[in-house]
Amino acid sequence: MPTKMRRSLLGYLPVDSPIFRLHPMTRLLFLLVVSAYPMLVRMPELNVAGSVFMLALFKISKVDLRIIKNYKMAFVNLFFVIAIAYTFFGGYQPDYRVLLKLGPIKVCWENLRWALVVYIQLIFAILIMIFFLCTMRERDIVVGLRALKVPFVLAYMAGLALRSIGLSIIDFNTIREAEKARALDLAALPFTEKVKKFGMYIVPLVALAIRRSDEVSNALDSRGFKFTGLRSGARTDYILSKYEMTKLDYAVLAAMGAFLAAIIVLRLATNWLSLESSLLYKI
Amino acid sequence: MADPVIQVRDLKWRYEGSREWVLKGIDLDIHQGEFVGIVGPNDSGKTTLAMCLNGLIPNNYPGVMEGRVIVDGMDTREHSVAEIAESVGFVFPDPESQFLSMTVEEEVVFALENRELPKEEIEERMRWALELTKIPEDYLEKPPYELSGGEKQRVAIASVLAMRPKIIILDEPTSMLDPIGKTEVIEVLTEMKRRYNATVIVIEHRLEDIAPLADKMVLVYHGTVRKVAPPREFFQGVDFLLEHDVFPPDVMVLANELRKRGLYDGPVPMTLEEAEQMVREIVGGVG
Repeated sequence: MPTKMRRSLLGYLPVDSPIFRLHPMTRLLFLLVVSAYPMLVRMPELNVAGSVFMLALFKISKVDLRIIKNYKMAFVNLFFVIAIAYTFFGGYQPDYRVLLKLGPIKVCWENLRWALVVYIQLIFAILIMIFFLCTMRERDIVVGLRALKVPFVLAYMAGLALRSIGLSIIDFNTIREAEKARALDLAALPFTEKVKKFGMYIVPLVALAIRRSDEVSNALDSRGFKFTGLRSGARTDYILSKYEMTKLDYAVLAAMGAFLAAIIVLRLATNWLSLESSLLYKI
Repeated sequence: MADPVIQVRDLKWRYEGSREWVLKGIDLDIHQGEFVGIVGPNDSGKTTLAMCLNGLIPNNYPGVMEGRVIVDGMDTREHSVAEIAESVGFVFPDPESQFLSMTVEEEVVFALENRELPKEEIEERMRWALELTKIPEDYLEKPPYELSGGEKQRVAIASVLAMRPKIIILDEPTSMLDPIGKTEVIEVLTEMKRRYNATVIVIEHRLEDIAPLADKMVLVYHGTVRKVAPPREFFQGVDFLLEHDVFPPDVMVLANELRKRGLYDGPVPMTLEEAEQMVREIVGGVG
């Protein structure tokens, strides 16, 4: 029997994925809290460990790891961008070890090391974001925000914004196909022509977006939606009532919070999380 | 007869920036429980009239309005669309454009949450609407925009039905659907007619599907109402309809031609059974 799948923001996930045992609010807080870890930790070994932990979470949650492969070129490009940025704009101190001289530019080990540190931090952060997108639906985000007592209007707007991204992509593809059918294929044109003719895509796309927002506004009114500002009023939260926080949620939240607190304390009181504590620093 | 649930009196409307009236003095009464089919050629003002009936015009569109529209006792000029939505549900032609939520379940309960109904009642109404529109339970967590055209429109109808409005307006609900989707929606309309005693107003081009369901047909042409009659009477004047760019089903046109040639003097058939009866009469009871 084929596995039943549930669509997420970035693909599909089996409905029996253990991640669905967690309340959407816990999953939303996972993004907010765990994303802080790589920002607070400089030591590459810890960020590599964090990345490995994320890969394990991907596996446990039954996320198709091929999704990460889609981003391999982005990972490579990111490294070059960071490396070039630190090489050219990383500054120079007399005690830096020069590896290579390219005219007036000195390629120093210390700058490359910083590039590597930042790159590993970003890889950890990106993996957290991919995991979030792979395991969350628009509905989960709205429910998560509503559970956090975010006013309905804001939670709903967040959901609508996410949906509109998807709709705009569909509209863009429709316009592109229509333009191709009338012999305009930007892919075949040189870059300067692409830029010049991009308006051919943008104008109908903006017009469609305006029309869609008009339609959504009519649909909202027709379903009795009254804008009451940021007050949620007595609006019934039926969907939220379908979800319950369990002991597992509280345990995960406690662990995430404790870990974050520990990182903040270590960051402020010691240099254990800094680059100086890393093996990389001793090279 | 009881007072009409919808009263339209000398309604004129033109959009801002346009000199031409889209509606040019419409008078129309619709009673509680009636199933009304509104037909007419493109750009005759059908959709504009429908939007006048749920208050989108004049509340959401700039323009000039004359005359009055009273819906369930509410003057549409004095009440907001949200207030009128307490009595009027509106289904748009494009199912995707009316979706407001990310799952079928959220979509169907959205209006009920707005109305601050108790959770138990929301649950009960949602199940009832899904059952009436034949939407399976396992669709609840699916995104509505991933369904087929007919399923999407059925979800849109379920979302409106769950509100249990006195009046439901469906603006060309099958116009953007494939034949299977059209059939699915017509089946839902048939079920609504059978089980839900609301006033239903359908703007539709598929006359052969609407005629058997309708209690009253309305012909709108160039912003005016040209004919209001029960379907049987409405379709007797096939030539009149053709003159107004409304194309009745072929079997009605055939019956009309046969009547003109003196080969048939019965009523214009409304159903397949009546068409069969007509053929039997013409061929002299063969078979």
